[in-house]
Amino acid sequence: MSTEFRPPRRLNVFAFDPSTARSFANRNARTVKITLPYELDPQDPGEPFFGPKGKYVEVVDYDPASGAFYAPINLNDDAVMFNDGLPPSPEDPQFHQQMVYAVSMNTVSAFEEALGRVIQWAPTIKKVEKKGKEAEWHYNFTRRLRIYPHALREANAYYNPDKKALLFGYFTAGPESTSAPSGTTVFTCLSHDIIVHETVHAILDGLHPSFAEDSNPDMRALHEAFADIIALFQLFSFPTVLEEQIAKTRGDLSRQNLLGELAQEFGQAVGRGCALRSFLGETNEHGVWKPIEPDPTKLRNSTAPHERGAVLVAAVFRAFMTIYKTRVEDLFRIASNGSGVLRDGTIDPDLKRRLAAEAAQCARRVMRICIRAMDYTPPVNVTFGDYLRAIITADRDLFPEDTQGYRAAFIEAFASWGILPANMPTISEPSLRWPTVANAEADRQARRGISEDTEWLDKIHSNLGLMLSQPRKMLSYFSSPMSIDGKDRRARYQLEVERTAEEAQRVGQLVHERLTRFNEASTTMIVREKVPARTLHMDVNLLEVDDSRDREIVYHASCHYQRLLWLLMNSASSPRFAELTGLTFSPDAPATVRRSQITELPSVHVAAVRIARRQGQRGQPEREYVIEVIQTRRGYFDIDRQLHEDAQPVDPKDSNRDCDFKFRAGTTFLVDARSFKIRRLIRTAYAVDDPVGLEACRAYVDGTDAQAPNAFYSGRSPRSAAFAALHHPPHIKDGFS
Amino acid sequence: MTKAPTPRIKAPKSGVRVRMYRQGHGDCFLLTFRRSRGTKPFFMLIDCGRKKGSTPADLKDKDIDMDAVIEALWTDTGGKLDVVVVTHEHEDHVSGFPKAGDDTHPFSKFHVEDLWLAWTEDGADPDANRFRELYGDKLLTLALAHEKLRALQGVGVPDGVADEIAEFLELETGHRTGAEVLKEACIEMGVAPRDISAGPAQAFAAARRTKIRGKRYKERLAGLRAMVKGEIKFLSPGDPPLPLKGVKGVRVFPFGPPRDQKLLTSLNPRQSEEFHVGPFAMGEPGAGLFAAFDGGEDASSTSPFAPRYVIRQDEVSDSIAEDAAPELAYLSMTYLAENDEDRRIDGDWMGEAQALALRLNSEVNNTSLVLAFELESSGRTLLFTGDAQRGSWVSWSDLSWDVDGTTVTAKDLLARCTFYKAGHHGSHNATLNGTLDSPHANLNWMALGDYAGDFVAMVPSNKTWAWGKKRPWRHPMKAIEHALIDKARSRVLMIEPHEPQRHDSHSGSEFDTMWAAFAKATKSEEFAVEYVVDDMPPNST
Repeated sequence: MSTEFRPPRRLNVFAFDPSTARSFANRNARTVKITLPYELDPQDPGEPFFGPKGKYVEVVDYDPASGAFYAPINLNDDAVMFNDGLPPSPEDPQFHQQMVYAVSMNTVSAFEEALGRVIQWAPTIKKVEKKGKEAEWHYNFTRRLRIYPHALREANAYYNPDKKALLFGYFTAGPESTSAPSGTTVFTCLSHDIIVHETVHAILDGLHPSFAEDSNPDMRALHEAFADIIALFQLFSFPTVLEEQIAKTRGDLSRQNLLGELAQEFGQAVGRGCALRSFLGETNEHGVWKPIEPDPTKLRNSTAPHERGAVLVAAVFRAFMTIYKTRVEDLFRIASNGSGVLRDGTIDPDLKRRLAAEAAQCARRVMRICIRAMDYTPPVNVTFGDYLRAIITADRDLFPEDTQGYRAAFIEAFASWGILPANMPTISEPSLRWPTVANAEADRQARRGISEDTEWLDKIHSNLGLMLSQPRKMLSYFSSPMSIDGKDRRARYQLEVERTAEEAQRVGQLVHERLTRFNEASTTMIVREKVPARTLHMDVNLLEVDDSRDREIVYHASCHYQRLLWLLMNSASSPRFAELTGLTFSPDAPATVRRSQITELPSVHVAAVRIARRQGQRGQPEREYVIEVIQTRRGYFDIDRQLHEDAQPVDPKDSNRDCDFKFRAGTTFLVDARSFKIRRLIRTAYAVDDPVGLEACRAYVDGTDAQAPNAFYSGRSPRSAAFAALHHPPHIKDGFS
Repeated sequence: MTKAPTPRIKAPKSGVRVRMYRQGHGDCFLLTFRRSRGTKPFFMLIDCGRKKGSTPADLKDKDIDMDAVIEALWTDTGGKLDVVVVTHEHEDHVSGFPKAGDDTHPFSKFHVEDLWLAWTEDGADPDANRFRELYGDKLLTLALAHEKLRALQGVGVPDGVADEIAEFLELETGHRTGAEVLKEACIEMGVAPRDISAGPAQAFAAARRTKIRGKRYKERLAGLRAMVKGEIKFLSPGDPPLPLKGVKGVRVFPFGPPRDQKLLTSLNPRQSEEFHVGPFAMGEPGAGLFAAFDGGEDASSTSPFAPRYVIRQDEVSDSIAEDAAPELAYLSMTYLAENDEDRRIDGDWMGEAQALALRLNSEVNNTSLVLAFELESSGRTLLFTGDAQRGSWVSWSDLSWDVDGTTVTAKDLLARCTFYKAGHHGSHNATLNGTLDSPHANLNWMALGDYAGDFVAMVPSNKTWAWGKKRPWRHPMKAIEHALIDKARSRVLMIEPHEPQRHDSHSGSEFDTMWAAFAKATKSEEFAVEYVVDDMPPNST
């Protein structure tokens, strides 16, 4: 086959899961073909493609409970390639591999489309012990997410953030199973919903590793709900499935249909319904399915992540329904001679296709809004209210005019489910938008009762511009610090500078390799000179070198800027800037606020510097940088201990001292990619030195800690198990908690 | 046998003297009653054990260990125990009793008259045997999981899981490794020695092959059972109230363990046999482990896929031949890649062993013999729950007795309960929450009306130790501790800290009389914390 021809890869998968596929009523929508563009995961068609192990994921089929491996599928095998993959069948493990690959990659594709950039998995963290020195933590590029389709023998599937791996389980269906026949095996890796859900956990963890922290009632719930929203709307991208459901519901998607039921087989096989979509509808006493009316008090009365998550899912689905109904009103009128009421009987096939097309488009748009909003959240400690503001702001920045009423629909739907930002006097689109820097500065001056010109902000913008466009110059300026005294601190500082340079050199090296990859094969010229490392340190905007498709280059460029920005913030941060952004650099901050070992001032962690590319209303490309900065404070359950620790003399070596919990706060900056001006500030509700925020965090963490789901241990789970425990069935409660 | 000295502890004027020994994190209670004739008190011992290594710091500093505490018990009682009650067979309740034939054990010199056990220990009870059989198989599953986890030596295993399971194995059996547990089970079941020495998987398979099942427990209590001079009684809930020989005005009502298998275990009676994987209901923690282990020595036979798809794991090694099939090379180079060891998942599937360990622990806790003592003159009752958890608590509301022609319910008895021995060291689910109207027994059913002002609780917990563990044990759980302090107005006694603590909310002068009376009835000694429940009618003093 000619390598010139780059066909998309088409793969068969179950549309829902094997049980739904078996059902006769669903015979027309049992399987779908997923189409992955060639560019997403280019593999030479002439070479075998085992695993599948591609650019993003690697499927490794080890079944430790059975002490068995299953041979990897070769997606480039002729019999596979020319038949759109293996035919869907639960008895062949290679089909399982094909399905997890196809569905997870399709999810990656949806995210990259919405975010306009390559996605990254969370970095691999390794502890490196060195003799006679403090252990160092190394953050490395995670090339591939690993997928184990048969890792567990239980009714569970989860993303393990430490292993950067998805672990799927299989189990024997019990007597209460209403889907898979009792006694047969249920494979979670054959459920479209579950695969998308777990993949989204991994993608979101790559975007925001701090979101796995359980520091307020919404954090875990947001992870769950977000994963579920994507799983729900991914189903809408399959025309055959959609048309089938449109036909069944006669165009009214708020009626019961398969789209609204998460992980059918799994839920029914373990004998309980679908948790996260439980607020979309319910079966009443006559066995009739009814949509649930929104209840603004539900959120207030829910504490469990799944329950809160279900509220968010219901709100987003309601927004979608509002938009969809509005958009298809005319179609109904046209098809019914203006009455809007269809005649009885089967729906007209043309109308069905048109409705399905509209539903697909709405779903795509709603899903993109939800994904893009993840660039517009505070970097840590996020609430559902913050997420609503992120949705509104992200959409508004891209489409200044809300011609289709998308944002209005979101605001209405969220408000009807009681999801609103705390302490907000008015709810409207403008008030929900995150403040522009001009507004934030005006508010700051007004609060202080001063009026000064904002020239100081221009200096900050110039620094940002210099840093982003001429990083090498910026770094050489930092390499000879004026104000660092003390041998130890100087050494630490130098180490930071070196590491920053290393990341840039790594970018240079990778770009160099890329540019010279034809040299060896070239007949005209042989260039094999060794290039000195320092010449590989380019003085251009590293976030925009190459075509930004190489994830490794993008990773190191981001790391470089994170470090560089850290140096910048440590060298020049004014009280005004602190006040504006909600960060603190004051030496008087409580001693429990984490200090920098170099400056001994409150430290900042630059969690992200990344680019977001979008296509605007007129098709114009929009670019901006997203910068996230986090600060951390040690928290104690005991108030007296907290006061005691707060008043201790500052010791920067204290950063890893024992504490009961960590309170984090921070700010996301949206920076215009052309002018390097900060456009918007997205702050957490509380600053790191705010006692109210600390108390809220304490109350929540103390509460979950005290909740013991068993007779021995705390109710909190470590990061490695952040997504594992959630999928277990809830416990009966009449104990103390 | 050493000649018994005169008991140091005197009988109370009326009611009962309750001494909670300070051997560590665990239960050891001595109840002293006045006999209607003679001066010699009537002694009842409820449990004697502790979790290994949990001696209170003040005793540890003085090199006082479990043996010394048993010696103190000897001095206190003069060596004669009228009744020994064993609530259930967990390390922290039975580790102080001797093994069969161990004459050097400090407890061996005691005179034990009667032994009271729960019906679940009765070898002649088919339900009990069935329960023990299930328990035995579950325990073997847990033991083999532990061995398999240990064999992985940390590769692809969730952190700390093997160590935590070791703790639970020790609670259940006194042994810290799965190998020891398997070995002991095999010996009990008469498995051939060569099968035992062949390795844990073989031992598991051999033990499963034997027809003799459910012999567990026998070993641990064999020593104590052999010491009994009088009779061994197996008590069931709802049995007629028991008298104490030679003591007047005290009735003992057995509340638990429930007869209902569903409450005892997680077994769902609606599920018929075919929906079980060995001892497990489908989907229950451990079912997957058992399914994998029960396939014999070759686990790959348990694979959900047809044999033609299966590549046995030993066919994939890290040194793969050059001419090996590319599929094998792929597996070797990805899964066994040297720098990717952290991403392996060899043991993650056994993470459910932890859930199994917790479940097993709860199931045995629910077999606790639960006793309510009624002091007839005052009507006051004392509740000793062992480690009974939810499954037992919810069964009490159905209980009633006919006492001299009057019907007495558990709810009536609890309403007069002024002394509560907190279940399972104050853990989650071992003291239930609710209201008077709740359908099941809970803390708010206790000490009502005239009795409301007298409520006192003992929590047999070395809290300092339990909460100081690397992964803390919530014993007592904060919410329960606070609820008890609130209900008892600070009159809550623990093993450590062992001085009574009067909390701020009860420091007002209106509580002074209450606190003075409590202090008078309480003794906090090196070896024990003591409280006397008198049998005067409430509000008569």
